[in-house]
This record gives sequence, structure tokens and C-alpha cells, in this order.
Amino acid sequence: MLLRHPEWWAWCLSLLIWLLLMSNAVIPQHEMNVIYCMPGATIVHSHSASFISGMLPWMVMIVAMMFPLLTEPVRHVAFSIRRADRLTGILLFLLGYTLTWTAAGVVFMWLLSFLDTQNAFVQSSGFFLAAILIWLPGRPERMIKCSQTMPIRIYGWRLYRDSMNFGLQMGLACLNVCWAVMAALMLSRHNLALMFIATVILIYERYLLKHTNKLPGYAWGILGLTLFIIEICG
Amino acid sequence: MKERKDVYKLPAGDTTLEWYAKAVTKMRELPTTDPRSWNYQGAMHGFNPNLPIWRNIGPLPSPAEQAQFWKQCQHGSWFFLPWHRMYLAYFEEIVAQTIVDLGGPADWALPYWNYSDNTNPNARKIPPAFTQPANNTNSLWMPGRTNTIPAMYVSLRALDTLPFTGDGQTSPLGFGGPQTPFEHSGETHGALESLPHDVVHGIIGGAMGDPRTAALDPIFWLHHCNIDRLWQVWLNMGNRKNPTKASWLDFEFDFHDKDGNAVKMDCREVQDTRQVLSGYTYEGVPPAVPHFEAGTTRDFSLPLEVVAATNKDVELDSTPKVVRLPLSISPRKKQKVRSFEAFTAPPTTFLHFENITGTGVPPIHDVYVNIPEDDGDKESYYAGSLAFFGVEEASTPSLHQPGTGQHYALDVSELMGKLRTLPNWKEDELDIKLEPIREMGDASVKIGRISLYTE
Repeated sequence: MLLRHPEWWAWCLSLLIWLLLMSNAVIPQHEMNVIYCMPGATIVHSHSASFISGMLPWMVMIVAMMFPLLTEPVRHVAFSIRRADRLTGILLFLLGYTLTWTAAGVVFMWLLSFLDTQNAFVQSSGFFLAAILIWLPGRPERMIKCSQTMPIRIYGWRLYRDSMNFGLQMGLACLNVCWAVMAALMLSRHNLALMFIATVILIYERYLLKHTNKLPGYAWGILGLTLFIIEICG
Repeated sequence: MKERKDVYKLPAGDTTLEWYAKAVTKMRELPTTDPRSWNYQGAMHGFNPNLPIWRNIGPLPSPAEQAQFWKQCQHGSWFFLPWHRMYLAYFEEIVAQTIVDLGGPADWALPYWNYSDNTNPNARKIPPAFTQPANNTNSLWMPGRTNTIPAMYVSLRALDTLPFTGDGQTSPLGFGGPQTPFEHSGETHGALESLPHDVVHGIIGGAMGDPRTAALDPIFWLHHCNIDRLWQVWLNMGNRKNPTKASWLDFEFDFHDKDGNAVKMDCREVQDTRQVLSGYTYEGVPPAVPHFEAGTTRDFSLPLEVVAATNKDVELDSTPKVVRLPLSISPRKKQKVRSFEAFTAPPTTFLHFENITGTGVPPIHDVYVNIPEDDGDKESYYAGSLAFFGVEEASTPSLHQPGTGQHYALDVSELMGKLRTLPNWKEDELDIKLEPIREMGDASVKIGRISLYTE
């Protein structure tokens, strides 16, 4: 079946991460649970956490939330190259993709250090921003870039170069569309429930809605408002 | 119920084209903001305000309205056929109403141009009503056209394609095109879209040569009427069926009816021409689809695999270009990826031209495989033609496409089987020759990758 559905590699990695996240949420373990928690639980988030432990939630979030959106590009890589090289090509693509988001994560982390993430408005502002961006001009044009392709060579080092390069390009395209939502989740301290809801919205938008549809804007707005109210009342 | 007739078989004294011409004149007088105007209908297919034909057309609809209704044509997609069927149906309704308002008959139907009719020696010529007189007094005339299509470009071999859906990589190329979301410029052009659809556009040229202007040419509608008819002909051949996925059936598109009101139509509603709006049939084509018998088609369960590909871009110019495809993992390893001698019957094989980008309206390029230097009997080596219809738009990032170009796939299964028997067959490589039919002019074309896919 993987011959016909190479995109399942990305989906499986994402599912694996979600299973780990869910199991960590239910079974307390010190490192992950101080970062991932259910709404209403005591939140411990240290601004003095090391760079790696600060980037870890971000990387996990990328794999869990972004990988399911990569069906088209993963299939493009997989079917552009020989079957024997398929896994290599896909992994290099995912690596290139993740590197782009990693760079973005570093920037976001640095910016986060200037904000008071205990503040209810700050926590929910990311979703409000994501909602506003839906209505600003240029978003459909940015979204359609998620369907871009490029030639992938099938021989030698060029195969590796093109697979990773395509991953980098797709990472940039995705970043251009989804950065606000991911930043919103960082601001809301990687709340697991919010992550799940956001993932569902992103998947629905990616595969079932036209690029001009404004429905996700309402969803982000409602999410932001809900979070704001919860934080105010909590 | 309307019957769409062959334009070359309209009886003497028939007034179909006369009324069509009057309606075109009337529709051209309407403001561009009117959904029933010629310009509005044309822009629904394609539009670019920078092109001369689109200048000085007066006020335009709002950007929101343009985003919803204009530049909606589906290409390189399984929506190519249903979208154009809907487009034609509403256009026909608008024209028919215009004709009634002008005092004409109530049963006007759009005729089709069957350029593949080999019983008609004039079939490949644009019908005379569209070419004479060749000036602006004739509302069916447009400048810049080539009036006759060479025989090789009206081939109906696309009808031999069994699956409706397919991209020639994950599965054999489909008659209707690959499964896609909304695709204005699209990627891989399906079998019927590639030939004869794209090539007829390219050969006629003028406004027809560019999807951003094509629907402004009155002959466009007869051409697409024929393409729509061929969809029914294909279904009637048996062992064929339309997609059954909800993602195709339930996908909606936006149009305007004969009163200019916004309407929606989905693909489910256009499967039977008798159910499309007031219904229509094609002269000489039974409208009822034969029962599809599962299990009588070939098994296409495994994706095809790439066995050869170029290592760099291929830029085309006004001279023929020969590209060598190595049939090995790498020139140094000399390890054969696939030996065609292993097959007793020609395996399903496609020659792909990927990420084609360019500017302007490039000439059609004929593709030959392993043709001798003296060209020999060219027809024996002919794989197909690349029309590059819409390449500039496909290369331009916009609301409707990412700008990474077009994709053509040529079925070379039979050709490869034949070439293997020839003395110049080489197990290690294939020579692909791309020959333009005219000068490149101001246009440019670059092919990102040429590749060979097989079972």
C-alpha cells in the first residue's frame, strides 16, 4: 500500500507524535508534561528553559500538525523518483521542510522572550492575528503555493539536493501561510487541545476548502476568543 | 430538448450560424460588467488586463466578483470536461435567450465542429461562416487564425484511453485528466485535453491560442462543443465510466444563468446531457451510457515507475532539439533500470514533460522518439505533440495557480514496442526530438524535466 500511498510516511510520523503527546498528557512524565497540558491544569512554562527544551515542543508541533498537510508534495517527491530511492527522497524532503520551520521556531522563541505569556490577551492574540490574516489580500495566492512542484532529478547527488531543496521551498510556502497559527500555539504555550483543534482546522482547510474560503478565519477568531475567556476566568 | 448538430451538416438554408452571429454582435454591445456580455463570458475562461484584446473594455466587475466568476476554467484536471460542459450549457442558454430577444427561434442550439470527420474533406477547415468575409463586418471572424488544421492534430486516439482519471505517473494518463482540487492552469493535461483540444487551440492561434483570450473567439464554442461531444462518444464505447468520488461529483462551480443571476452547478448534474439545464443531445450520438462492467478493464493498481529522466532543464528555441534519456541509474554505474526486452507485450509507458514554463504563445512542438538523422518515415517515430496551451499563465503565480508550469504526458506504449524492433534501437538510451512547427518569435519555453514512466 505504501507504493500507492507514500504520503502515509508523513501521516504515520504525525500519528506517532500525537500518540506520544496523548500518552504524555495522560501519564505524567516530567519533561514533556510541563510543556504539554490539558486546559485548566497547572501550567509550568519556564522562560529560562534551555534552547533545546524550548525548541522541542516547537519541533514536535511541526511534525504533528504540519506533516498531514504534506500529502501532495510527498507524493510528488515519491512518484518523481525510483522506488528504490523513495524513502530517501521523502525523508530528505521532510528534513528540508522541518529545517525551514526550525529556523522560524528560533525566531519565534526569541520574540517570545519579550512577551508576557501569562497575559490572557497575549496568549490569544496569535489566533486573532491568524483570523485577521485570512481576510487580508494575498492569502489565496500564498495558499496555492502549497500545491507547487519542481523537477526532481533521479540520479546521484542531484536527487538528494532536489529532494531537500523541495522540502525547503515547501517549508517556506507553508510558513508563509501557517506561521500565525503556529505562533498562536506557541503563545498559548502549546496547549494540546488547541493543537488538536488547530490541526483539524488546518487539514479541513487544506483539503476541503477553496483557497478563497473565509471559514478558517471565523474558526481562529472563535478559538482566540474562547482561549481569552478561559484565561480570564481561570 | 435541444439537439446540437454538426456545423458541416446543417441543412441548406439553416439559420443557426446567422442567429449565432447576431447574438455575438448583441452580446458584444453589452457592458463587460453584465454577466451575459461577450466579454464577461470570455473572461470566465481566462482574462489578463495587460493583453491588447482585453484593453479598453470599459469598467470591470469588482475584484471580488472577478475572483469568484472569472478565470475559472479548469485545465490539467479531472474537472476539465465537467467544467467546460457547464460553461457551454450556460453560454448556450444565454445565447439562445439573446436570440429570442432578437426575434429569433426558441430552439437554437450550439453546433459542434467535428474536425476529425474523415468523410468530410473540408472538416479540418474552420467553417466558412467564420472566415468569410474576413473582416470586422463578420462578427464570427477573428484575426490571426490559421484556418486549416493538419490531419495529425485531430487524431482521436484519446478515445482509446480507458480510465477517466490518471496522471500518467501514479496511474496511466486518464481520458479526463488527473484528480486535482480546483485547477485553473493545472498540471498534467489529460488525454483528450492534450489531443485534440490543446493542439486545435494552438494551430488555430490568434485569440484561440491563449486560454486567457480563447473564449473571445466565436469558434471556441464550437470547438468545445465537439470536445464535449467526444466525452459522450467515449462513454458510449463501453468499458468506461466517469469518476464516482464525492470529491468530483459534489464539486461546485459558479456561473450565471440566462437572466444574469448567479448560480452554482456541480459535476453530478452534468453526467447526463439530457439533464443539464433544459437538456441536450448530440446529433448521431446516443445519450444513454452503456452499463459499465467492472472487471473488464486492465488492472492499474500499481503506480508506474520512472525509469529515465533528464538531469537538467531543456530550453527550446526555433530549431529542433534532441534530448538523450539515459535508461540507466547513472552514466557511471551503467546499470539498467528497466529492460524493455523483458516484456512480451508493450508495457504501459508514458513520456512526461514536466514543469513546463514559458512566456507568450510558443509554437506547437512535435515529439519524435529515436528518429533517424534523415528523419526517415517521420510518422513511425511520432509520439505526440506539445501545444503549450496556457504555458504563460501556468508559469505565473496567482490566485489560481502556483506558477510552477504545465505538464504533458504522451502515451508511447505502442511506439516503444514498435521501436524495439528497429535496427537503431539502443537498450541504454532514448533520443527524444522536439520539433517546432514554426518560429518561436517572442515566446520562450523551458521544460523542467523529461522523463519516462513505465510498468
